[in-house]
Amino acid sequence: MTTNSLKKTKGPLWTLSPLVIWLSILVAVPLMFVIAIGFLSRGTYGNVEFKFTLENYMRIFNPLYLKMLLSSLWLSLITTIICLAAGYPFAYFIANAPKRIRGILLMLIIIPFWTNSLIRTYAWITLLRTSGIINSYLMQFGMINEPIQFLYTNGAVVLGLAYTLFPFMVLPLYASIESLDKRYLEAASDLGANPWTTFWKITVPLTMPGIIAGCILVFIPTLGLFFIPDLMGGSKIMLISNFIKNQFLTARDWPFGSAASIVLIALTFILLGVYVKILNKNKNMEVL
Amino acid sequence: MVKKMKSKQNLLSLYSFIIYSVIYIPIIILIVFSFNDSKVNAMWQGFTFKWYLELFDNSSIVTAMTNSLMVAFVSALISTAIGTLAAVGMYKYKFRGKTVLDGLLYVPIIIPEIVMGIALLMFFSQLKIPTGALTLILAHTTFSVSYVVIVVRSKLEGFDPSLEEAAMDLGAKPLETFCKITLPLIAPGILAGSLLAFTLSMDDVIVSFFVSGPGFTTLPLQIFSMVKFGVSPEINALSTLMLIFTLSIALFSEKLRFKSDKEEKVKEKIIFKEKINLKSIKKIAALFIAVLIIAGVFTGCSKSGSVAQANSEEVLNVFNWSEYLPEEVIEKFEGKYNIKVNYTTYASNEEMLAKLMAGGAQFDIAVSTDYMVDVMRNQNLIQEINMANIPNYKNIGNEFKGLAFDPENKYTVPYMWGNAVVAVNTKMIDTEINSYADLWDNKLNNSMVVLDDQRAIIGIALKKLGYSFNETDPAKLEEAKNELVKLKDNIKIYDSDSPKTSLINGEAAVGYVWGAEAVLAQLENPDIKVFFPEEGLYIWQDNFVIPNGAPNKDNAELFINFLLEPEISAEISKCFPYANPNVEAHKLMDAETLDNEVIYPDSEIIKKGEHLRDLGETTVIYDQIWTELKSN
Repeated sequence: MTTNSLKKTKGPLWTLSPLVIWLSILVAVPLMFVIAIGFLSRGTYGNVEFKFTLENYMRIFNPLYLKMLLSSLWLSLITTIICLAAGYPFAYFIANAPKRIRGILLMLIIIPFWTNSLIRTYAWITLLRTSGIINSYLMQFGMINEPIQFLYTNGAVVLGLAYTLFPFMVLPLYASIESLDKRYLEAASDLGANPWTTFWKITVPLTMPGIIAGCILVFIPTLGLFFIPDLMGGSKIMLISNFIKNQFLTARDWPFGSAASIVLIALTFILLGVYVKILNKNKNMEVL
Repeated sequence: MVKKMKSKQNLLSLYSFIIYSVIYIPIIILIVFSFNDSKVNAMWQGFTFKWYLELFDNSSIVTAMTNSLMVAFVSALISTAIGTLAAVGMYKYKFRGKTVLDGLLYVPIIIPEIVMGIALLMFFSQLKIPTGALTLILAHTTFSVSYVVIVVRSKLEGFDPSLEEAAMDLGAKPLETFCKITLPLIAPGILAGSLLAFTLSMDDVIVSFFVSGPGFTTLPLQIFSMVKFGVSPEINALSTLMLIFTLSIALFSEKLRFKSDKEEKVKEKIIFKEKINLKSIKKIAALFIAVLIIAGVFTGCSKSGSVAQANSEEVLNVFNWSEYLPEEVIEKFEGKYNIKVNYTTYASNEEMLAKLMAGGAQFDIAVSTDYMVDVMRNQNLIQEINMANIPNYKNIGNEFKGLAFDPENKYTVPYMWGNAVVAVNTKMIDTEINSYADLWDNKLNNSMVVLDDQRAIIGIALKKLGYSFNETDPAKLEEAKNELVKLKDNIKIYDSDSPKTSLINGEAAVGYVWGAEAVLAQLENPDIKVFFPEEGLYIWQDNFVIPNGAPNKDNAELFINFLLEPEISAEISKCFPYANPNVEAHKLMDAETLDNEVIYPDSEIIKKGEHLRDLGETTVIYDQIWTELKSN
């Protein structure tokens, strides 16, 4: 589809320079600070001492911390899958809606997310708690005798995360599905493919860029949102984000926190690389 | 066949309707509670309009909102421009260092927000850029731009380059091709990216906490700093107004467009996809601009207000806990001394310390709890106070002076003190809880709310074993950890911010909470009874400190002295249920408050209590125990 000849055109790279300048000043330099602090030591009172050490990196490979990392990744994965499964048909609906209402449908999904996420989370708590709205109604209509414990469970945490990050899945999916060339679909059905096959063999591979972007924009931020596990999960589970926050605040161990952040970044890069590779491989195989 | 398609379409519409409903359910709750006649956002108490009226009186919330809109708009604009250009460049050209650029792009998304916030603040303070609107915009653009590039690039992947080639073949110049062909085709991606950037900025807290400065705060920061006393329903009212405003603009512009669409349809039946795309961009742009104009008008108004005050030139930058000083008191000070107070808040000692450590050196006063004074003194972050400038220091009771964290009374002036107690909902549990050991009773299975605080929770296990809250012996700490593993099943919620909420609404039967929280819970729910565990209470004392490098030290001392005036101090005590160390103020306070045993316990009980000290290296062991406890 994309011709390599165009990609190799030696064009002006000016389009890139603003981003390159911005990132090298405001991302690369602060990142250097973090990398440097990761090799220093914690002073007695939580100050950063200029004493070189590798100990911070060694400490991370304690089974205790690895376990926490794994459960963090697991929760993020589940959230991403739920967002993708719920978001794809929804984005498909918006992208195929009559053009005149498409814009409004898109705005309708984003506007609620301009209100504060903490306020929205509190609203969920009002709904879900044992004396909350859902339980009261269920009891009133005699569907249950005892209130159901929704809050302070892993399920509540996943719900909170999926809700908060839903637009981050839908918007890239929408952008991708919207540009889907309908002729491919017609061709497939003309050739006798049933709708299900057409969907899996044509629609999904062609919208793969949107799927990848959406999954990345959901998966990675879930690793960092700590107030939702705190509020909806009752702070009972420690995720990687809570852990790193604790290192910088309560433990006042900036070097260890910095080292943990660097390991998190490295690990995410590895996962991203593997993930994109697998998806691209599938895409090429199925389209060709 | 057609019928089948139709039913499939209907199914999809139904599904999407359900999704919209789920998205809007919490929003409806939020709107309903903006009319609720209760400060605590927990139970329906009756209909009222008062939060809307109070909102219009609360200039700080309105200012914070306009600040937020301004920062979100500007950073979304910059990140969309830079991000779109770069996405096109990265898609089209192969160049050396592309992988590095790609990697750098993902860093702002992956890096935990707190790390990014601290690192950026360190960077800004190295460059001596004062924190404020500029640093907020720089920081927000930095994390938004990555989202924009990723979304726009995903759109470009599905883009047919032959269109561009065709345009070029027909003689269009590269720039012309970009503007007339590429841009309209990727418009939905740009739109999606800019919406994400705006949304991200409107909701950011952690990075903003670090890079914001005195006198310029954003709405999410203001809201997060309210959590200790429960977010005020004024915020619900504000959110409701914002929702109605944005929704009506969206619908209105849609209606206008619908009209022009119809007209056009008569003229030409086929409308190019690009045209529509450009239109929706225009519409969103119109929405943004409307928001910006409103924001501009608001900021303009509030600016002119502050200009009048700025004539005095004297300022004071106060860094304090949220909900700890009534606005009226600050206004009285401003009026009396003609000094403008920039009031910035934090939610924990640790946040305050992190910000000062990373270089937030513009503050003249901070409020620090006992153990944190140890840390700040040892890190050389605070300076001696000139007590000669604070004659009202004599109003403070002697038992609050000369404590271990400041034995010579050089660095601190006491502000408020308090404790942590056990609160029991007697309707739900009928046992008496007279000791920490009683909390281990398996009758309390999954029914407790406790402070989300390492020192407090590990502390009660130590107390149960007969040790101190300040234990440093690793063997004894190991014992405490084993006790806590047994306590875990009883803990339903960890919450330091507003544990009273779960006590009031019956989510938890027993709480180990701050005394002030227990008092507030009792006001809302009379079934709650307070117990003082016999092993001894956790007692804290908050103190004024003056950070090193404070630009207005004299004003800071003036302010501290002013707050120690008996009348002023009594006024503060009226607003917040903490114990006041100002004995002169006690004479002006009502007996009911002074007789409240939860706030002012018996002197026998206080004697057995303990203040926390900083534990140096042992802090790391506490944190390890905590991590282990929570990740099992």
